[in-house]
Formats: sequence, structure tokens, C-alpha cells
Amino acid sequence: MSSERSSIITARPPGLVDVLDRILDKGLVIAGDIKVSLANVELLTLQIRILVCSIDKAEQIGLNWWRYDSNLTTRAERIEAENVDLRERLADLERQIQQLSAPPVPAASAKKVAAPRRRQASKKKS
Amino acid sequence: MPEAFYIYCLGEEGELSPLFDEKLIEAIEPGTKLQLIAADALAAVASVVPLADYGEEGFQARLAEPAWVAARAMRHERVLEHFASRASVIPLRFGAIYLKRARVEEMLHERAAELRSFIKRLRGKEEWGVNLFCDRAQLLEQIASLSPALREINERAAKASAGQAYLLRKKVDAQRADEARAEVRRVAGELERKLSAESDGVVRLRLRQAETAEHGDLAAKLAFLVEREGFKDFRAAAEELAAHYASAGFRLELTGPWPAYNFVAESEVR
Repeated sequence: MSSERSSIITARPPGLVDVLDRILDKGLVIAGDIKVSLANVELLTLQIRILVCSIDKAEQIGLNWWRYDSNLTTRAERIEAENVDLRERLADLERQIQQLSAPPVPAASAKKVAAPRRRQASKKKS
Repeated sequence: MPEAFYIYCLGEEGELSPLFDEKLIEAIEPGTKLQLIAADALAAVASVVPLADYGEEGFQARLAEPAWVAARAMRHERVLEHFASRASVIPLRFGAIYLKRARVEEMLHERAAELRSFIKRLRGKEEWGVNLFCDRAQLLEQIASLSPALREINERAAKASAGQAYLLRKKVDAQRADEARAEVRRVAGELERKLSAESDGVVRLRLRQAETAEHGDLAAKLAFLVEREGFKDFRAAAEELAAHYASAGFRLELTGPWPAYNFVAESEVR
């Protein structure tokens, strides 16, 4: 009986969106020495949500620990992730076809594998 | 490289310092270590961060990079969960940065009384999130079958002329939507009241636009401060509510335990 009743509630480990809701917006505010404007928390949360809707993408940027949180993605997000995956595969196939039918383009695919951290660093300098 | 101090949470020195003898977890920046900065028997869990990323300009720019923020937000949370499960700590919001160690000590000293009262209030307690979801279609159906007024109009519509019936059905739809909204408010209110009785505080969280999950639309989002010892009763009360309202299309979701982010008043010192 008790297990049957428990199943009425979904007790889920906190996902990224719950975490962001709290730590970007809540918690004791101490002034600190650096003025931080977290005015755009809503937008930031949304952007991050879009970013991690694909678990693959999340793992790519080193956020792999929440693969343990199977409920992180809702069904809709899983479908979205699948779409992203399929689109990527399609793009891959298109590239392959292009490479077969045209002279090789210099190292376009090697760039894609570059570590995101480095990509960020160079973006920052610009 | 110029550095700054990133602060995660605050607590009592005597309680926090033994935790540094045990295995610690990763700090917000890879390759750096968590450390304790103490003053007046209070202490801050901190780690060194590069000023290039956490200084005035750098940080603001970084905050516009979702990937950068996401990874660090999760690390901030993990550090907090580590300490909150072992000691009474005041969780800080993301992005508390000091340029010098001495400035952290100063802050601890200046706010000692306030910090001590927070620590006392939070001791032995955890934050639990309760989300109320509503399957609108199911709720509307239930309302249509239960409301005598709506049944009566529907019966009239069945006998009326086509044009009349159309108008009556419109009326039914509008009334049903009104009743559904009222019912969602009532259930959310009851949830808040009943679970408050099993907890030490409640905060209503803001609903973001269009939060929809598998169990329907998010209708209410609450945070409760719950005694560790009393969690069983809290959970039982939540389960009772969930069982009672399941057939009307409501579903409860419990997240936690959280560090008490929502229970430290924002008395910002400027």
C-alpha cells in the first residue's frame, strides 16, 4: 500500500532548471566586491535550458553528471534532443556526400571536435 | 594571475572546519581547492577564482554565456549540497566575489549577529520544493461532470435549436474555464495551508511562463523549510493531498532536499 501511495508523487532529483531557479535568483545576497547584475536570470535560465535540452550537448561541455538524473528532460525535451541528433546526423551524411562528390574541403570537421572550453576562451578575447 | 575569492556558503567555524579534514569535492573552477575563511567563530566556504573571469567586466561578459554559467551553477550547487548535508549553512546566491581574504573576514565580522541568527533558524532543516501540476483537460472534464449548473445548461442545449445550442455551449465553455481557474487556486491554497502545518516556513516561487511537463501545466511552485526529523510527516501530508486530487487531474512533484536558498532574507548590505 505504501509504495502504491508513494508513486502518486514524483519525487525527482533536482534538475538543472530547478538548480538555476534557486542559485541564480535566491540565497543570501552578500554585496561582495564585484557588482553583479543577475537581472536577466529568466533569459539566462531559458538559454541554458535550450542548451542542455540535448544531453549529448550537455556532456560535451562537461555537464555529464546529470546523466544520472533521468528525469531531467521531460518527454518533450527528449524528443527535441532526438531531433537535434537526427539533424546532426543528416548534416554529417550531407557532408560525407559532398566530400565524395567534390574535392576535399580543408579540415572542416576537425574544427567541430575542438574543445568547447577553448572555443569560449577565444570568443572572449574577440 | 590576479585572483579573487568566490564564496559559496557561510556557517560556524567549529562546525565547518572538521569537514575540511575529510575528502572535499570540486570547487567552482577546475584545479582549485575549497578553503575556509574564518572570523568571529564564523566561516565562509570559499575558493580562489581568476579575476579575468570573475572581475567586474569579465564576470558580466561570462554571465551572457549559458554554457559557462550552467557548468558553474551546478558546481556551486554541489558544493552547497555537500556542506548543507553535513552542517547548518547559509546558502549564498551565485556570484558572491571578494577581492581579498580580509574583505571576507570583515563581512563575517560585520554581519556576525545576523548570520548567527540565520544559522540558528536553519539548523536541522532543509528546503523542499513542491510543484503542483494540473492536467487541464482532465480537470475540465471533471468539472463538467460534477457541476450541476453546467449539466443543466448542457441539457438545455441538447433540446435547443442549433443557434441557441451554440450560444449555450459557448456559455458552458466559458463557465467551465472560470471554474477550472478557481479550482486550481483553491487546490494550490489548500496545498500551501496543509503543508505549511508540517513545516517551518513556506515561500511561493515565481512561475515562469509556460512551464509544462509530462503531468500537465505547472500551477503552483512552493518551497518549504522542513525539519529533517519531520520530513516523514511532511511527505505523508503531501502524499495524502496527491492521492486526493489525482482524479481531478492534479499531480504533485517533490524536489529536494535543497540548501535553504529560499529562507535567507534578502537583507542586502549596500
